[in-house]
Amino acid sequence: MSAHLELERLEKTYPDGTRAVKGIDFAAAAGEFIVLLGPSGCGKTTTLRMTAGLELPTGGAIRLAGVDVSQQRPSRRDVGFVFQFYALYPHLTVAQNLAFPLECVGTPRAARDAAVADLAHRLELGPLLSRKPRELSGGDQQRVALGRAMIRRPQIWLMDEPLGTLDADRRLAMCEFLRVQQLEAKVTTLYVTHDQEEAMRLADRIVVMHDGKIEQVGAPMAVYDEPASLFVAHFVGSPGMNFLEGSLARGSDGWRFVARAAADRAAAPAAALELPLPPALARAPLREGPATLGIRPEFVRLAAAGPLRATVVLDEYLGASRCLHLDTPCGPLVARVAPEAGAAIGATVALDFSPAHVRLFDPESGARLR
Amino acid sequence: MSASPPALRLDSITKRFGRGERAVPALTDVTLEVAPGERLVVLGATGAGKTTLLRVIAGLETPDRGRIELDGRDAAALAPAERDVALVFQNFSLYPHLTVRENLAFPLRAPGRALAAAEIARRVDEAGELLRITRLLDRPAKNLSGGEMQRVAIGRAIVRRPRLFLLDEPLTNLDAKLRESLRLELVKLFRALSVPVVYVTHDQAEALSMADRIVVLSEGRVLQSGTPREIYLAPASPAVARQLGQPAINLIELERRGATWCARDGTPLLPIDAAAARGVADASAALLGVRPEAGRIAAEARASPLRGRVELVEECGPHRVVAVHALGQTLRFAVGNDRSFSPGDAVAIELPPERLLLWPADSSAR
Amino acid sequence: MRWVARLLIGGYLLVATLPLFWMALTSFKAKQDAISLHPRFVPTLSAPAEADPERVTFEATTEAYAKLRAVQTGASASYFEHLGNSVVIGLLSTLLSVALGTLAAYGFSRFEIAGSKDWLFFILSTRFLPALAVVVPVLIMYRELGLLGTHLGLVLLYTAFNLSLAVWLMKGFIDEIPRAFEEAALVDGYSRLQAFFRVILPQARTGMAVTAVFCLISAWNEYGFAMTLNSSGALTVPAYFAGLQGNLEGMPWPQVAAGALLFVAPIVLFTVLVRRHLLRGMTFGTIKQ
Repeated sequence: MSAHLELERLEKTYPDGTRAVKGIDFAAAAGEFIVLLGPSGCGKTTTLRMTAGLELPTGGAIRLAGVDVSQQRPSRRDVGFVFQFYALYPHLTVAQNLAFPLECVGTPRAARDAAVADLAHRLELGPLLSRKPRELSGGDQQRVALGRAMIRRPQIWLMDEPLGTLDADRRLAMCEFLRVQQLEAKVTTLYVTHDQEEAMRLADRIVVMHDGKIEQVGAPMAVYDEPASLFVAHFVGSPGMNFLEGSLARGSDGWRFVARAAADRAAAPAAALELPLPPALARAPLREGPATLGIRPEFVRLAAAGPLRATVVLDEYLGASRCLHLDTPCGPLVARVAPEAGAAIGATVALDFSPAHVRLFDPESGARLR
Repeated sequence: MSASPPALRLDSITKRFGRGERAVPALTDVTLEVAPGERLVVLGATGAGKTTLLRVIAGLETPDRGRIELDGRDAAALAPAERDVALVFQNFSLYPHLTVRENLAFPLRAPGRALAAAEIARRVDEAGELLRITRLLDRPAKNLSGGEMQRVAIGRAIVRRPRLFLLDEPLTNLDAKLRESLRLELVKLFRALSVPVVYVTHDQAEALSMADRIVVLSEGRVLQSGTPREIYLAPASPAVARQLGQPAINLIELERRGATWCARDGTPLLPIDAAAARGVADASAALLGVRPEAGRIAAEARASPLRGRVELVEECGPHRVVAVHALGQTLRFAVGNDRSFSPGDAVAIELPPERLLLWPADSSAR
Repeated sequence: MRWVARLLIGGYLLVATLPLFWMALTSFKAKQDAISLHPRFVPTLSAPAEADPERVTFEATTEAYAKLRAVQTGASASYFEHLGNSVVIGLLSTLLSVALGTLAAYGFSRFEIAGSKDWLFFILSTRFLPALAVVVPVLIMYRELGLLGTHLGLVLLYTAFNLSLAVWLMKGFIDEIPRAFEEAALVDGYSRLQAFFRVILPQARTGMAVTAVFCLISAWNEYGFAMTLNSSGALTVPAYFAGLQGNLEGMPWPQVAAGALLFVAPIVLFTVLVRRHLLRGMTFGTIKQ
């Protein structure tokens, strides 16, 4: 039943001229979990709603199982839509709530009962089936609600931030639940969120969107490790990637990155930072000139002696790790360190980064240099 | 100890809603203190009584019992307007019929304050600069984005220069990325203003990173109070341990078998004389807590008797969370993203004794 | 599909506006044309050449409008005086209903009032009886109090009747305004009353506009009480027209049409003015942002 989905040069321009989606292309294989990730207003929800048929595209095509459904009405598309707010019907029991979507499409009673029993078994809801929603705990209500949304096995599930209203800790538990259900049902899923952590946890592949366009499509770790643009590098990861402005210069021993002093500082020549670039970049078609260097906070190391001196501005303890917010002559940086490695605010530390984890970007276009 | 009285002191505050038989306790015997300039974060799940606590401090609710002092003086009889505290609400942001500037000036125009127009303008401009919203000042409040609105809402608190800031989950309804950056800005701001803060949240990351001290609240009671490190590393009860850390702490039921603490199925996990087990030395059953980053998992067969099968692997950027089915339950461990596991892999789990937490099995509020 | 829909809408529009259209036509007729057995609906500017009794044309005249100023046989004052009564009574009772209703609704919405549900039910229950069932008791009461035939009498009566509607409508609207709005003001140093005026009232404007429209329409068109509690003093337009029936000269139809047209105008104007509020208000908070 599960179907592959193709979006081809999909566009949406509203009557007032707003271009919400500016021609995007991607394909999801049958059974794949795709997360559309981006800030509010990036066009991710519009893309989802067009796939559902709740809005009609103004250009391009949507193909579900190879059939162009772009102009079909929602009820003809065999999609399941999971909304952000999914209240249970208070006057129905858990079992009746779960069976409700099947009743709507006229599933015979026996098949309905079997599906409810199967789902209850998987959700470990057996003893609760005859209860009313108000007799359940909040967490159980959420599971029933998500279960109800997922009881039907359409060609594709479309989910619009279904966990958006939950407490942070419960959201993570529900992430795992959702992922397990999807793996078992093998229904192709398109999931919209602004939370990069949710995206990383859930997705087979992440589609990062920005300003109506796709920035990058890739597996979570690929997006995290090899971001295709400055935007992706900043948006994925918490905190996002660190950036230093500077320029590339060719030395006798290969390419070097020379950091520029931050604009709001007197440029002390002694503070200038020069980094050798990893050999992997040696074959890249680099050019001398301005460049932005990116490095993830976990690869900024506090060292006894390092090329860069920094002052600790803030110390964020996070239990399993610690984020030090640093002020350097080349601009602010964040270092993720072990939780024991606290540093007094105002202390001076030396920094070092391993060249292997350095990423380079074009400061003009934001594109990755590689 | 400094000589100046605490900025806020609550003593045995109790508050119930409703009357008679059906009264629901919202706060029970809540006692806490906020030192001058201190950032206190109250951490609790939805419905723990966090908002009621703030409303009691602000004077919007009257406690049934208990004493409330501001700067050492009894504040019970003071109306909200007389307490000189500022409250940033979770959902309310701004008055939609006013511009941003008028919204910021609104608290300053209160009748008791009698500020000159020039002083009001000066303070509004100052807050605008501090929060980087100067360019928004003359816009209608209803045209702002969520993050901008919450910035202005915080500005409304700043302009007043109150003796105490109260914030009720100010970042909850914002996008994840925005939440992250505003969280930092807030800490910097509070440090710069050095005004005492009571900050309420359900987000453990916010609590750990922003607090000087955390108070864990559950069902209207204070479970524990301490620095973020104390609460994270030495939680007083499983209930507290579960509130902090992400993914949540693994809890395993233990029983005593000879000289070893064993899991229910008999797997030996910890010698009885281990340092971590000192507090429960006499008990016959105990509850073991293992932080996800404390356990070590390895694909190859190791000496560890604890074995399991990988159920699910989730990416979290710098680390991965591996869910392992072992001991008849799901245990979650965080590993570096240089280690890879796949669902179905058989793994051995090591629990380093020095990083384990043990409570008596009957620990209240499991 | 589309043209069927258009046809249906057009047909309904025709049926709905025909009486108004006919009223407008009648107001420009002479009395003979108005009461002729053959419908005359084509206005002309000059008198018809031959007096064919079955003609469809009539000579348009503004005579009826001019005559509105005169005192009719069987009446004691001109149309415009009665219109004035309607305006004074309608506006004052609307003002009172909205003001009192908003205050009461705010109380019910924000404070714990012992038995508040019972109070609200009681307030609504004043609408259970058909108004005319209490005409006689009210008549006796008003006679004793000397309120018969006074503006004040009708203002109080309409306010009493509309107040239940106003309280219920306004409670719905005020419930939608977050409590945090005035609580923020309280913490900021305002008193409860100041917070009400500075924060709640601007937010409740939509609700007040909707409530005002309903109250005004109900007071403006009320006939039964206006007729019974009056001989002449504060006779409103609906009662005045009805009173013209059965006088020696018969019903002055063109003047009735002209007067009715003028009578409808202010309400239409008022509704158009607050239309923006109405359209938002009518959803009764179903769209939450």
